[in-house]
Amino acid sequence: MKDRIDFRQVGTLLRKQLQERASAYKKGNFDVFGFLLRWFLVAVFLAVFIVFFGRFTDIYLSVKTAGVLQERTRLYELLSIVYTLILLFLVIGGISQINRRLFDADDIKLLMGMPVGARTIFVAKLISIYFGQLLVSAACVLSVNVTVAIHVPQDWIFYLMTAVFCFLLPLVSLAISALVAMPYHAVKQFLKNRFVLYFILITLLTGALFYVYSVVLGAVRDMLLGDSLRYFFNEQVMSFLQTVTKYLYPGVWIADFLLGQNLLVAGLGLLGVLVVCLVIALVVIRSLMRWVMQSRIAGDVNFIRRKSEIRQQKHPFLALMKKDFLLIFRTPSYTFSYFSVAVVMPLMVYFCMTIGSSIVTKLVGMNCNVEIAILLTFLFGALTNVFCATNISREGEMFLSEKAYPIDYKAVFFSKVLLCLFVTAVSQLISAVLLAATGYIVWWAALFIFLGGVLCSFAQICFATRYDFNHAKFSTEEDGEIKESGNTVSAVIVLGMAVSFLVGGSVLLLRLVFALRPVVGLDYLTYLIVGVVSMCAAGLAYYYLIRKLGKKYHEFSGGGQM
Amino acid sequence: MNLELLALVGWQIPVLAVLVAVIVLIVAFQGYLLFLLFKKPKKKAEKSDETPRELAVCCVAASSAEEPVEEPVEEPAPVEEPVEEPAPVEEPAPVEAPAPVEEPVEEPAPAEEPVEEPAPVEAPANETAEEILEEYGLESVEEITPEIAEEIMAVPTHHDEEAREVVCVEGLYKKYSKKADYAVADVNFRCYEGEIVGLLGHNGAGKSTTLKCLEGMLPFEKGNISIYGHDVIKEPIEAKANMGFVTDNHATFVKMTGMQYLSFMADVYKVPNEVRKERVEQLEEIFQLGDAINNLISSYSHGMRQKVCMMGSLMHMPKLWVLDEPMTGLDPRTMHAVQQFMREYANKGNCIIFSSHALITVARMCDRVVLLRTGHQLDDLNIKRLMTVDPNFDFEEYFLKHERQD
Repeated sequence: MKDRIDFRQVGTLLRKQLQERASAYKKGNFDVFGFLLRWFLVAVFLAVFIVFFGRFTDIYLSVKTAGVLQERTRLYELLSIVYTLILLFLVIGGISQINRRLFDADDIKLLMGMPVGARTIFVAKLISIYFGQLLVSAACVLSVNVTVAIHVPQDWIFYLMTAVFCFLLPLVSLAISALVAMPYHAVKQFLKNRFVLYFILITLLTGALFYVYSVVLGAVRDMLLGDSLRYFFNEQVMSFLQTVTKYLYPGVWIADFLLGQNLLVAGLGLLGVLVVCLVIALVVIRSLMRWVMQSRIAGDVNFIRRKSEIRQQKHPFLALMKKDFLLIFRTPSYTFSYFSVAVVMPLMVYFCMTIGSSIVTKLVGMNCNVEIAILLTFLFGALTNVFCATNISREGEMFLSEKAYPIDYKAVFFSKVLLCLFVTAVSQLISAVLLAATGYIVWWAALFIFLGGVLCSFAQICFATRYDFNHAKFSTEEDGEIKESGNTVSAVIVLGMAVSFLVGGSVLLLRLVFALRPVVGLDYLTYLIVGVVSMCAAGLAYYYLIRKLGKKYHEFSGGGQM
Repeated sequence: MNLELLALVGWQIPVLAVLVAVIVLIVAFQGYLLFLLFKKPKKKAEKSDETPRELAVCCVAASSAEEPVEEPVEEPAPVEEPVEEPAPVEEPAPVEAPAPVEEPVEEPAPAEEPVEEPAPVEAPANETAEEILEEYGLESVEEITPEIAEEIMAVPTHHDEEAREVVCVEGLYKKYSKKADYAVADVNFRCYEGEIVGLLGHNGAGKSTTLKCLEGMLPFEKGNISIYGHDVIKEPIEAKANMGFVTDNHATFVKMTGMQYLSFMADVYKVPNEVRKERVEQLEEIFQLGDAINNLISSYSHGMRQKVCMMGSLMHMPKLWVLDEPMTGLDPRTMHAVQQFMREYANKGNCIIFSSHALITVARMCDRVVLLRTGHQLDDLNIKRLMTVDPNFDFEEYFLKHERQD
C-alpha cells in the first residue's frame, strides 16, 4: 500500500502533541515557578536586547565611510547581519527541535507499530516544530524591526514584510535546520557512548562559547564606558563588513525585502532557498528517519567495551558515589549541565571578574574586587549546583530499589551530597586560585571566598537534595533521563540566586555606600557577613536535609512521574 | 525638532499597535488551533464515528499524555476494607495452619483464640506416594479429585528441626494511599531454610506488593516482617544483609556495564575480594551473558537485563533469595538453568521466595504455595506433597477452578 499523507490523522497527531503540552499546565503538573521564571528571563533578555541593539543601531548608522554618512547603506548592512544571526539562532533551535521531536521522540516507536503512515507522522511532527519556531521568530523579528523603525522611520513595505517574515522565517530556518540536523544527528550517534570524548568536546565548546560571550560582553562594557565602539568601525573594519555582507545569503535578501529594494531578485532567491532546502530536507530526513527508527527499534548502540574483571572491594559509600558519578558522566545532557559547567565555571568567574572589576573601578573609582569575586563565585556556584535539584529524581525507580540494599539511609543521601560538594569545591578552588594568581584578590581572601563558597554550595546541595526527595518525580523516558526541569529546579535556582545576591550584593553595596566615608574595619565587615551567612545557610540546610529523613525514607514508596 | 519627534512617535504608535496585533494574532491562532483540536475529539466520541485508525492514534495520545499516576502499576483491584478493622496480630498464627479462609473480608481479627484451635499436624518426613495414597484411601493417582488434592495440600509441610525460620510475615496490611483500599490485607506466612515458596495469584493479587514490603522497599500500615529474626523496620540493615532480590521491572543502573553492576552489588553487600572472581564465573556459567557483560546495560535486551539483575542479587549468595516474576523474559535454556539452580540453591539450605504466573513452573519447583487473591491470603498449600503423589497433577486446572469458585 502506498504511504500517503492522511491529513485527518495529521490533525489527530497534532492534537496528541497539544494534549501532551497541555498536560504540563494541569494542576499538579504545572510548574508555576519555572513558568514565571522562564517568562521573566525572556522579558529581561528582550528588554536588554532592545536597549543595547537600539544603542548599537544609533552608533552603527552614524558611521561614515569616506567621510560620507550613508544611513540607508548602513541599515542594509545591519539588517543583513542581524537577520543572518537570527536565522542562525533559529536554525540552532530548529536542529535541536528536529532531533528532539523527530529522532529522539519516544512516541515514534509506538506510532510505527500503528496503522499510521510514516509520512503522516513526519508531516505532523514538522508542523508542530514549525509552530514552536513561530513564536521565537516573531519575538526576534518584532524586537529587531521595532527597534530599527524607532530609530529610522520606515515605510509601509517594511511593516508589511515584518509581518510576513514572522511567518516565513521559521519556514526558511526549518528547511536549513533539517539539512544540518542530519550531520548533527550522525555526530550525536557517534559520540553517544564515547563519554570521555563527548565530555572533552562539550567542555571545550562550552568554554569557547563562553569566551565569545565574554568578548561580546567586553565590547558592551566598552560601549557603556565610552564611545570607543564608534572608533572600532574604522575604514578597514567597514570595508571588511561591506565585503562580508555581500555574501550573507539569505540575510541579504531579507534585508532587500524589508527595505523594498531588489524585490524580484530577493524574492526569487528566498523562494529558491526555501524550495531547495525543503525538498532536500524532506527527502533526506525521511530516509534518515527510517534508519533512525530501525536503529531505535533494534535497541541501543551495542558498544563493546574492553573486557573487564570484577574490581576490588570498595566501601559501600564509595560504591554509591561511583554509581552516581557514572550515571551523570554517562548521560550526555547531565555531563553537560554539571561536569562541563563546573569545569568552565572558573573561566566564567574570571571573564566576568575582568569585566566587572573594570566597570566598577571606572564608575566608582575604587577597588571592590573582593566583593565582586564573592558575588561571582557564589552566583556561578549556585548556577552550577542547580543540577543537584535532580539528585533523587534522576535515579528513577532505582532509588526505590536501593531501599532494599543493606545500606543506611544516611549513606544514600550523603554519598550524593558529597559527590556534588566535591565537584563544586574543585571548581570553586580553581576559581579562587585563578583570581588570586591573576592578582585580582590576595591569597588569603581567595581562601576565604573558597571556604564561604563551599559552605554556601553545601547549603544549596543539601536543600536541593531534600527538596527533590520530598517532591521526587521519576522520568518516564526509556533510559530514565530527565529531559524537562520541574518545580524543584526552579526553586533551587531562585533560592541559590537569592542567597548569592544577598551575600555578594550586600557586601558590594556596603562597600559602595561607604566609599565616600571610610569606616574602620569595613574590610572585616565583608568577611563577617560572608562568614556568618554561609555558616548559617549551611547549618539550616543541613538541618532541613536530616530532619525526619529516616522516617521519610522509610515511608517513601516512589516518586510521581514527569 | 520636538515636532519632528512628535510626528515620529505619532507615526510609530499605530505601527506598534499593528505589530502587537500581529503577535496577538499569532497567539490567538495557536490558541484557536488548540481549542479546535481539543474540541473535536469530544464531538467524535459522542458520535462514535471515529475510524479505527484514528482511535488507534488517540490511544497513543492518551497513553503518551503525561497523566499523573497516583498509584503504582501493581496496584491490585480494590479490596473490600474489613468491616471491623482487624487488630494487629498479637500472637502469630501457627505456622502450619493453612486453614483456607473462605471469606477473608468478614474474617474476624486473626488468632483471637489460638489456644482453642487444634494444632495442625505436619506431614511426616520423607513421605512416599504410596503412603499418601493409602492415607486417603486411594488406589491410584487417577482417583485424586480437586477436593482430595486440596486435602493433601492442606497438610503442613514438614520442616527439619535444624531448619531455621527465615521469613516471618505476620498480619501484613498495606495500602497505597489513605483513601485507597488495602492492596494487601492480613497476609501471614513463614518460610524456612531449604524451602522454595511460591506466591501465586492473578494480576493485582498483591504478590509484588507483598514482596516489596518484604524487601523493605514499601512501608506498610500494619503487621510485622522479619528476616532471620531481624525486623525489616527496626533492624533494616541486618534484615536486608541476608537477602538478595530481583524486582519485577528488572530495574538496574543502565549506565553501568554488566560487570560494573556486579562490582557495585558486591560492594553494597560487602563481598570479600577472595570470592568475587569465583562468584562471577559461577554465575556466568548459569546465566551465560558472555562478552555482553562488558557492555552497557542500556544496550541489553529485556532478558539480558533480567539475567544481570539475577546475577547481581546472587553476588553475596544470600540466605534468602526473593524474586518477583523471575522467569519473565528468559530464554528456555536460561529458564531451565535458573530452575535447576534454584532447586540446588534451596537444597543447600537457602530459602527462595518467588512470585509467578507460570503455574506449571510453580507446581514443579515449589515446596509450598501461598495463594493470594485481591490482596488477601487464601491458602498456604503444601504443593510438594501433592507432587510427590502425582507429579503430573494438573495444577493449572485446579488453580483456575479455584479462581472460578471464588
